[in-house]
Amino acid sequence: MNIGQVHLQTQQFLPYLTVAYCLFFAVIFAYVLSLSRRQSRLDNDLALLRRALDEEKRRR
Amino acid sequence: MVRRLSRALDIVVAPAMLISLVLAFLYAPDEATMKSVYRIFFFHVPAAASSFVGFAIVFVCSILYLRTRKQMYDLLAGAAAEVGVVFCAVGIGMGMLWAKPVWGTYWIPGDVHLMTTAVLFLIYVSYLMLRASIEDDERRARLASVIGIFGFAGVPIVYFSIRVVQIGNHPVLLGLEPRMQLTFMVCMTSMLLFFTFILVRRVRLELARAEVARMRRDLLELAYPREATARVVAGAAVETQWNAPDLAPTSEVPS
Amino acid sequence: MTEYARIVATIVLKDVRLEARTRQTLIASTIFTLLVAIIFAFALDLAPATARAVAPGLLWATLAFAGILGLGRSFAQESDHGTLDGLRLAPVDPSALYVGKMCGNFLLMLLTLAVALPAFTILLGVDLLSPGVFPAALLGLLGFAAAGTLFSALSAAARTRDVLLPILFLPLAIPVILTATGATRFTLSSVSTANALGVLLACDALYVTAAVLLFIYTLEE
Repeated sequence: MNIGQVHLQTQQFLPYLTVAYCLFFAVIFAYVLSLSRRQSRLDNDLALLRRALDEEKRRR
Repeated sequence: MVRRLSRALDIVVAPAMLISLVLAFLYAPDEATMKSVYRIFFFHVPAAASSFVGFAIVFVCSILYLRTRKQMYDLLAGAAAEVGVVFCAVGIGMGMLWAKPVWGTYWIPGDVHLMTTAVLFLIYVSYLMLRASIEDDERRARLASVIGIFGFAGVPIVYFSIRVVQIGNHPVLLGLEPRMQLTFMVCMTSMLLFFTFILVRRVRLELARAEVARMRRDLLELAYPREATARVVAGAAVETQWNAPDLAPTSEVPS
Repeated sequence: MTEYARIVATIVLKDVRLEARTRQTLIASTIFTLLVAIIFAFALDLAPATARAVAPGLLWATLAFAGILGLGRSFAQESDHGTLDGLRLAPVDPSALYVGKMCGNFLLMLLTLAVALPAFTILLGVDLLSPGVFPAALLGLLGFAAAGTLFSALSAAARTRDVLLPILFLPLAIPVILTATGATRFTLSSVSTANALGVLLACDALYVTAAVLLFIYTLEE
């Protein structure tokens, strides 16, 4: 594989390129973060409900 | 089988994205007119394409739900719409950042691809808002499916209406060098894998939510059993003295 | 007259009679259209050349928003007064119900158009009353009515129905607005409107077909 020259010229173009890719990763990262937060909240609810169900079953 | 595929996906995604980045920045050569900036397209187009795949999934699942009424299809549709909207937004954002240095403005109202993507974005945002505003599971699934089908069917019309009315000039990269082609293929593939990876996570979230709802219902069933409720209802019926014999309450508890 | 047409006519007449009693929606739409035309005329202060360029767009934006006013009440009223259950249970083809409602909404939009065209012609100084404008206007409003009636039925079931209808309706109204505006602009500058009208016709056909097929799903309970 022939790795081309690394173009790190400080043209006016470069900020747009970096911001665009940072945007991509920032947004996706934020979304995945929100997903895992919602997931852990639901997992907590599930554990709570499971305990409550077991208690109710034991009572009857 | 699904679990094994999902596991494989988890392992493959990160390296794939890494390789894509390396290829996009280091391997692909500079373009003639756009120099380095065109590299945005290596992620911009795959992101938008992935979101279209997501919207197609919503369309198919909406149809399948209305035919089979299986909740799983609605689940998948809602998840795909949400992830699709995220990728679409990112795609549009990257597109705008590509447009500014190349065309001079962030947006051109006459451009076919831009406008169609924007309208698609709006349609599915409204789809998500509809879903958010209906509590009942069955009704939400049914009505969301209607929009999921109608919205997707409208997209070709949007495309042609823009074509007919204005002339757009989306920079189509013709005659891609083989190195660029390879990079693009790799980036497209890894983006689709990435999209699927996130979609799987979103579906898992939705399944967990359904599980919580189900357990809550079970708990209520145990705490306030239906027999007691049915007896109260039957008792009330006796009070009002039904005349029609076949409507008389039985002493049996309905199961 | 076939059974189907008779049912459609019954529903249209019902809505017309209901509206004729209070004239609430008609007045609201009319005044809204006039006000918007006035606001555009004052706020934009357009030179004649610019006015000719933007008038079609302003006209269709106004028609879209005024249309939402009328569409909102289409099914909300039924659901509020409980007549929707009666319609649901009626032993008729549900698509007849949809077509009836759509025709009613279309009529209301035509009346709004009858106010908008003179208003914009006078206030913006652009000749929108030329016969070439009418095909685009009719087809465009038909597209609005087709999609809007379906979405009105949909959003009537949701909690935030007043906000939801515009949000659902406007993205899919965009192709209609685009082509109708384009066709109107082409008429004003004496360019062929054939393509634009063709796409508009295709759009209407698609919307009506899809809505007729999907409408039954909005009625279930």
